[in-house]
Amino acid sequence: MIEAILDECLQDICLNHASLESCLARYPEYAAELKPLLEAALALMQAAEVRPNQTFKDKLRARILNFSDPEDGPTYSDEPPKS
Amino acid sequence: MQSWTFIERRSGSALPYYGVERRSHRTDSGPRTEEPVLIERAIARDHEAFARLYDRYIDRIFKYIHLLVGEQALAEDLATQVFVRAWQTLSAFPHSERPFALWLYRLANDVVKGYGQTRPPAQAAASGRAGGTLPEALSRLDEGQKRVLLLRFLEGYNVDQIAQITGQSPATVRSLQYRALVRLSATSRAP
Repeated sequence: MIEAILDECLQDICLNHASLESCLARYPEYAAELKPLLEAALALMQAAEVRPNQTFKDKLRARILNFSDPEDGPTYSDEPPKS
Repeated sequence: MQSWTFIERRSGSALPYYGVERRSHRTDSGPRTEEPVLIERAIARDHEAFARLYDRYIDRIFKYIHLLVGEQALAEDLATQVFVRAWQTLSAFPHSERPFALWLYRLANDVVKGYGQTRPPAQAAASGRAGGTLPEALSRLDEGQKRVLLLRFLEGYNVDQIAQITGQSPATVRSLQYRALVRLSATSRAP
């Protein structure tokens, strides 16, 4: 039961149809158990908002365009292209 | 050891690969049909095609690695290794069997695990402190739990879609999700 309720709350929070507080209010008998689980999920969602630095992305993309063929030898230690 | 026993495609199932924002639950919309062509071209050593695959996946792979290691610079370094390794091994990608995204996630998992096995213990301890409790907590999940959280919160699939991808029942996916969050919660509350 708690597994289904947890998923329902997560789904609603993911879709911005509910907040953590409104979910707990909807299921007061499960609120004590739900609260830390939803908080953990929200922490995970927040951590997943991180983005790579654009300069890093651009440099790696440029490096990709200059990757050597694996048949030519290992590329694992290829140096980035000189700019 | 191969740690992620990833996800065989169920017969006849249509797997969404990408293209929908994480919190709006995935549909099959998006330029998915273009991806197999890009993969074929990249296997044939078309750098531009591989760069376009990189464009699609770098943010997601970076996020995943950052969740596991908790450090920006380290996550960038390990993400670089993932794409280098992907280029090296792309010809072995079994694209008829699994989504490209999940193949990349498996590479990322292997790279992170490889890094964890090679760094000195003192550095590992320092990194653990700097990285906070979430990476540590995630590292303690079993592979099935970690996979469900990845698909749910990074890839934006709902339980029914994850069940379709993994070949598990929705009830099993909900149970894995519940146990994963119980474990994450317990770890974050530990002194």
